[in-house]
Amino acid sequence: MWAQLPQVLVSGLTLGAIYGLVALCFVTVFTVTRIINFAQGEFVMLGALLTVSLAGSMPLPVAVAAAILITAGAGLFVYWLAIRPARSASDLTLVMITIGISTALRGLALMVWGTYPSPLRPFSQGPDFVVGTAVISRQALWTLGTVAAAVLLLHLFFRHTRVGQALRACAVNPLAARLMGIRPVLMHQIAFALAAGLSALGGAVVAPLTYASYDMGLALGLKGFVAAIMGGLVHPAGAVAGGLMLGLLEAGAGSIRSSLTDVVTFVVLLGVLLGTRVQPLGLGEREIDAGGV
Amino acid sequence: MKRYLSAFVGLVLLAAAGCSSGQPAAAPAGGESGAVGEPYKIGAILDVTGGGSTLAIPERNTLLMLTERVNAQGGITGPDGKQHRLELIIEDNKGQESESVLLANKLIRTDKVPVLIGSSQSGTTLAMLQTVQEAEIPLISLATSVQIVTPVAERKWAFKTPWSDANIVAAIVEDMQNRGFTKIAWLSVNNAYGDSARTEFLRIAPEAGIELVLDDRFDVGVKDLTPLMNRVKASDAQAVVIWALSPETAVAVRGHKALQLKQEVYVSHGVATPQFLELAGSAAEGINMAAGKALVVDQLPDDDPQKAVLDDFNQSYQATFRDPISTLGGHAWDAFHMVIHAFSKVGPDPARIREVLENDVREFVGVTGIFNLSPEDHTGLDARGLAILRVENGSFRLVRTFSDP
Repeated sequence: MWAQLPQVLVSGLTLGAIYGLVALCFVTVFTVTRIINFAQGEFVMLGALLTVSLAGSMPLPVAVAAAILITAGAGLFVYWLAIRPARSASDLTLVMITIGISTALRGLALMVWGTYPSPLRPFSQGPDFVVGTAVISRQALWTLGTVAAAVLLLHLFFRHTRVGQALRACAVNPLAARLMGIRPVLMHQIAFALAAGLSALGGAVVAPLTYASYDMGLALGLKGFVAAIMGGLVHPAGAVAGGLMLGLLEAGAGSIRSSLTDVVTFVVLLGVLLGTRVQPLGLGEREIDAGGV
Repeated sequence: MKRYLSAFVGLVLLAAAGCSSGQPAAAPAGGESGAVGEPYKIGAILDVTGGGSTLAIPERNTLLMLTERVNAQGGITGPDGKQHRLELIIEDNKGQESESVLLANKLIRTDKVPVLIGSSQSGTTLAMLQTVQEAEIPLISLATSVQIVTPVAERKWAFKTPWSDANIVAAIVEDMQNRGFTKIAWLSVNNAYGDSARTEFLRIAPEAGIELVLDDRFDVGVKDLTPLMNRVKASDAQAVVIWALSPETAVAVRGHKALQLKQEVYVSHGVATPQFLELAGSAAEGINMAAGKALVVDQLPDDDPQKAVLDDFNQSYQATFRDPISTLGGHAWDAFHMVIHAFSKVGPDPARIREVLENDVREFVGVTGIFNLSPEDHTGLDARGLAILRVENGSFRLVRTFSDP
């Protein structure tokens, strides 16, 4: 059993990195807009499927970049179509709207791409690396590297750029931010587009490993959400760490009995929700930010 | 502006919800001779979306193609001497048991179909059995589980065209015996399809001298099976059986290849389609399966009794869809031809259609095999339709057929 530990680590960290990335997107949108966007997983799906479709007619890096841009645009479209018009609705209504968006996006993807899963060729060809009893595919390294780079860049963005600092200001105190001349609507759009684009990147990099299909977003979104909850929905570092932990727990459970993987996800979710005093809907804080959505 | 936006959102959501509703296949008008009677209806419930889509797409295509072909010739001549067009109503059960029951009820009670074809998967078929038994409508399933047609006394109205998993598993076990494998790892998907085969395998393996060194199940939609493959690596299995449909099997064989494992791999007949090779890529190299001959039509000798039918299927399917054929579409082909045979004899009378199916389908040369249905056997296949296939150089190669009944 212990001989399998290196492989469990590799598998767990690879998928966990994607969960962490999706969790980061949840946190980004939530802190800036106070909305939990349950359609986040569908942006991963769009990124994966768009990359697959475009990779046939342009170099892979261009296809990935185009998929990211198109998905970011889709994020903006979703914001203008369904989120902004409902800005005075209750938190619960907004959550239901995002669930509806998730279903609609899945339905559209089904119509456009059909039901068959689509494979994507790995970003770089070559044999897998064997480290002890673990096999690390090149795509797994791409996944880990991409997510690490994304997390780092996001961190630098939030800390050292004006836009990033403005986003953080909006997250900390929307009214004060508005008084400082930061436009909340602009910040919300940036948050949505940024989260959608990042999710798309995650989708593109994981597609060679797990195939792209119209229904891949549901599970990924759910697990990213669980990981985000592990970070209290407001701490980016906690979200990424939560994702990695979730991935490791899943891989570990899977090495005992395959059917335990989904059980693990929900047990963790229950444990975190019951064990911490997290208030995911930030109910209580809405009264203060008159300059909210 | 707000009103238009909400309306647009509503439209998009409606479109998404409605995109999986039924699609009646309309028959175009054509010249006909003789009197024209009422169209004969065929209801089809297929797992178009959800876990069974790799099965249902070729099945649906085949049914649509054959219906158009028959209607282009004016339809079938019924027992009343009149020409009857076919009206094929296809519904998508989204791979869910509950949807299957709802759709079966809808087709039987609202659309009043006299016969049902479907569904694509064992689980979704088994869910409908009670409904069709109570409504006394014959059902020809395109799924594998032997439980669909046995125990015979309780399956009066249920038939199926694929081989039973009992036949396939027996063929695989025989191949394993021939090659001297005694220690096997069994991995199957966590649903009726996987469980039914597993029960069969556990039943016949000991008699064949085969020991199960690993026995595990994985879920539909699983994305990574390297942890499971690690357990295979740690066991002393000489061969691995992976019993699932294309997406999960592709993930499994890729995991097997990624860990550079050396066991022989056997897969189920549910992946006997070229799309599986696309999904699995180079990881499919060297895998073995017991399946129909539809994938290797060109490699069959000319004196094979099914060659003519297979050629017909191959050419018409490729001409219409530009995709190679698979055994899955073949199951639909066989079900369709049985139904129109019954229609031409007795018209749209469910009880008499059932009798025709039980008593008048003898030595029927289909794509899946040669059928001899009877009141005791609602599948009627022997080993004659089966072949052992192996994937070599990215395509299926015929290893051997089973020539005696």
